[in-house]
Amino acid sequence: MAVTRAKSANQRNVRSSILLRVRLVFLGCLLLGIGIIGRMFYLQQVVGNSLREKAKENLMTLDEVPATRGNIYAGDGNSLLATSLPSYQLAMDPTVADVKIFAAAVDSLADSLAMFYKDASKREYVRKIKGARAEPKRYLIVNSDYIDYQDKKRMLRWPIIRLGRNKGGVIFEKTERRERPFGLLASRTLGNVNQNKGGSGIEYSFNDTLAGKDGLTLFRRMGGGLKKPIYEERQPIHGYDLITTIDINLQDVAETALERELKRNGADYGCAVLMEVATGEIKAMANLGLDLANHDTVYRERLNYAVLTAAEPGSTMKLASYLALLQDNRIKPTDSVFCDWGSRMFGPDKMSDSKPGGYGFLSIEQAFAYSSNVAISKLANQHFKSRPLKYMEYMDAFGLTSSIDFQLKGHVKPLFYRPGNKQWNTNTLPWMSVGYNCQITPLQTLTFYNAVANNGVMVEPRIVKEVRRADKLLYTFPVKILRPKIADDKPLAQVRKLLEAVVDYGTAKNIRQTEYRIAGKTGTAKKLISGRYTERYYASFAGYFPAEKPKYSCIVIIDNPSMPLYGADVAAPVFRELASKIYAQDVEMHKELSKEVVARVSGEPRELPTIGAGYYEDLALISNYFKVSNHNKAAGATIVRPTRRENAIYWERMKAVPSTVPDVRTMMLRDALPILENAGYTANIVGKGRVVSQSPSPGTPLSKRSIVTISMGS
Amino acid sequence: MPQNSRQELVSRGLDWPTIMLYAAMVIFGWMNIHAAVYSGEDLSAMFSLDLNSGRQLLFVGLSMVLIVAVMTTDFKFYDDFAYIIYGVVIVLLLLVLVIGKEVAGSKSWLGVGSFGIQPAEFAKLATALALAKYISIPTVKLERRMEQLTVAGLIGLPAVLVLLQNDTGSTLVFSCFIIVLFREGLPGFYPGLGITAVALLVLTLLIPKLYLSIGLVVIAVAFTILVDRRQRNYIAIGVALVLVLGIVQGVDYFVNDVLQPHQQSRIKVLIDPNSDPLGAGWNVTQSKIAIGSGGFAGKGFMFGTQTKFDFVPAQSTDFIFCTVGEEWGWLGSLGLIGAFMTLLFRITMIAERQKTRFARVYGYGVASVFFFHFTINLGMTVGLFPVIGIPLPFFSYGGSSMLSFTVLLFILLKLDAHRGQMLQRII
Repeated sequence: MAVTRAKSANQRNVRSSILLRVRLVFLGCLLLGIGIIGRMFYLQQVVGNSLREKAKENLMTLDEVPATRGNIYAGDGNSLLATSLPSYQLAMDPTVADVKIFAAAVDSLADSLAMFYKDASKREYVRKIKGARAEPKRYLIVNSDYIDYQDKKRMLRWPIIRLGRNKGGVIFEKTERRERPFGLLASRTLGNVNQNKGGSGIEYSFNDTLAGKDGLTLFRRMGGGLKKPIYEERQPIHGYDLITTIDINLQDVAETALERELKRNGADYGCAVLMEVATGEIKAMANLGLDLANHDTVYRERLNYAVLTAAEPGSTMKLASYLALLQDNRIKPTDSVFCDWGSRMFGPDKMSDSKPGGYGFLSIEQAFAYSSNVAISKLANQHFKSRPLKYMEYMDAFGLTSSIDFQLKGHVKPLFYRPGNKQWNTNTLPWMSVGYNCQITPLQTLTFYNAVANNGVMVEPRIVKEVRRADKLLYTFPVKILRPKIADDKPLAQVRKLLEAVVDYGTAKNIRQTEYRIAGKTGTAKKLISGRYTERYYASFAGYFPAEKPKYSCIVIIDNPSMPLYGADVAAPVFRELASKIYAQDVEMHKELSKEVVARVSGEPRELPTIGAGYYEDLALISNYFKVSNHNKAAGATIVRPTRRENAIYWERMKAVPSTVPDVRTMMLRDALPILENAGYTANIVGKGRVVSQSPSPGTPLSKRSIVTISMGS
Repeated sequence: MPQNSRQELVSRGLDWPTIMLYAAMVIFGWMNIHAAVYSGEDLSAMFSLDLNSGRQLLFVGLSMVLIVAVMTTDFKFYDDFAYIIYGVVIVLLLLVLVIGKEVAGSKSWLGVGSFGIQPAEFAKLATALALAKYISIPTVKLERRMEQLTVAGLIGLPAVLVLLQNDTGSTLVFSCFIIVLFREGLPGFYPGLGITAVALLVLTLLIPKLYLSIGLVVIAVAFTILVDRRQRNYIAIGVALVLVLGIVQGVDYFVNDVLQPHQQSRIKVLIDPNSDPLGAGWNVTQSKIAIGSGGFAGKGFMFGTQTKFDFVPAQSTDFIFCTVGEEWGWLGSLGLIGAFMTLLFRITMIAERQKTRFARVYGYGVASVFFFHFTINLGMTVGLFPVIGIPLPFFSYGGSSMLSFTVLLFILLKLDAHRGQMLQRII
């Protein structure tokens, strides 16, 4: 009994122990459960607001939206010299594509890539992509080359890429790239801006105008790393467009001619600048050079030599010396000057002429035209030795000694020795008169020549004329007059005669033209290298044209030509080529000349211009303009056909027969098309030029709305 | 028709409330996975096998097949084959070490065609069965050292094999069986020791070592003074104090030298979430942001932004609770926790009403596993516990866990349905 009781008591004990344990376990569970519920409450209610803020931050991102950089246009306001285009880099997450799709398509994708980029074989692309997938690499730049929008569109048809971002893992990284539709044309003048905000040329000098201001936009992050704009905090202010003064055709001619001369002479570098006399607008600015350090053999636009290099100009500076003498009323062009026996000693130094034995007696004009060093140094020394400051005053007045404020940053200031400086000695003046003892940029020399051409009005050179936003003109850089009159009319007219003489019979007679006249001055300076004059030369030609009514001034520099080495031989031809090209294009320049020419030939026209059928009024106008004798036999007719008798043209009426095909042969499209369409036909135009043949042939009865094919040709 | 009557019997004996709870959780769980991965495609995508939601649907279907299989298998099978099932799983665990696939740093996958299974998920089930089988031997008393060592071996073997797969999270799950053992008579000293060790670990991380050591000495002295003079055991108290101080001093070594770097950072982040905000702290911070931004009533189904836009890593697996917290708010979380508490309560109740020790121990095993997963997963998601990568039963995406939890639960329900017959069998 006792045993049973003990047993049952034991059992009770066990039972209560178990119950206790179960309750303990339950309690534990409950406590943890409550703990978690409490924690949830804490997170969602107590610190919930700050967490919700964080969630918003997570979801939103405030990012800069880059402003689009402005365009740079040529002088016509139309031709794009530099623009920003969206371009793309192909990247991908190679792990995204499905195993089967990837395996099936990777080969053909690699094939397309190899064909497109042509920089690696198909097998290399397969290895690259497969390797990245196996690694696994989540981001692979497939090719770092930039492609344009059209190429991107093409790629979107390729395998895997066409699956897009979510299924193919393809990412097109978009950036804006500066594109130059004309390639390397004027590339130094256009310049660039590098990542350190440094740079050169127009891009750098006008960076503030071109760059615009980046915007700020609030984005919502979307799945897969995409972003969706929500709110524009600050709109990007897109950069303004610049209209330069550059004429792409002339720029092209300048570069081509310059390159050819540089190659022919094996020179180190060269530059050519073409400026409009009245406005200072730079129409072309070519700079080509060799990278000597790397033994480069291709001339490229490396440095804007015209703006960034100042050198001893040599004989082109004689213009200033003569102008000073004439302005000071010390000499007359008709004066005679004895050029010694080809050389003259100034103290210990010998000034020589290039003609052995010397020129003997020359008039002032001849002395200039032949570029006698002895003559001008003798004259300058004679008249200004006792008052060198006066000579320097003239140099100052001619705008040679103070820097011009050019639009492109970094224009090098001129350097002139001055009386009172320790470098100034008795020999300084004679050598300065022939273009030594001073350093000046080609652009500044040109500015001076331009002022002479512009009858003393010195205008600042300009390369950017307008700032625009789309079609809206925001700002015009006005013609800036640096010096209203650098000298009196009389000495200016006298030196212009001297400049003409140089081309007429002097050192640059090799570039004399019959149709128009060039005025200018050659220069061949010995180069000063580490304090010694060497047998290396700095050849130049500066001048303007047409001589009678200057429209353009131009300077050409060729540095260190090996053979030939005179300015007349190496620099002047580039000048001539530019001038001739302009002359051929510039109708305004022809106007006065053409009268002459027409007058000369009108007595006996050797050839009549091609004249076809067309509107009477137009044809008559053209014929009259070209002084072609023409007579109307069909008064009141609108559409006429010409017949030629001797040197005259007679206009005959062209009759239109209703419901038949009109005759439009020999007409220009401008006339033929409306005639056909007014008659109710549709024209099918083949080729260009004049109508050579038409089908069906004229007079064929043909119902309206039929098609008439006209073949054009010359 | 004996067949028919037997079916009837089974369905009548089934614990329908548990089944309803199970069904509700699976459906709600799938909805959350769908919400976590859905990013605006057309709705047909929910069935696409490219997405976690679509594949999870497939796993749910497979689970249904397994439920039928479990229900139609003779209830005696689990008892009789417990050790064999255990043995098979041990072999699989060994196999995975040799030919397993490595996914995310853990070599725990066994490839079967294009699908893979994680034997570690099934090891819990097998261990629960083997443990039940062993403890159900009438002569086994857990007070005895020999039996204690045997159960330690039964639990330890799969645990060590899982640890070798580098799956620390799943290894820790095996510690949950201590609850079963405690219920079946293991001296309270063991769980007490475990809880003390964990508490000390946490305290050491939170409080400077010197202060903690002084505090512990003070407690020991106070304890000695307060205890009745006759019962004072200076040696025991002294040994305990030395042990405790040793643990405190050893935690540094343990954290900095024993744990792997990623585990270290997970623990350090728990103490100071800003110690590594973009690394280990990222998960927890983003998870807290997601839950916190849900507020009281949540943002609404499929309106969660934090989870949808991939801010929370592993959002459809281990961190699925974020989606619940964000989209359903505190109320939804409360519902989920309530449902789990109910399930646990229900399972414990079922376990307690078993007539055989085998079924009861197994029932407790099921409850322990669910409890551990549930607590640790939620705890890490809300930033209470370190990040231990274990799934939330029926909610986290994953085939192996879905299937193993289903089978785990339904074997118990099968045993429960036959509890009357079991008694007959014993008699």
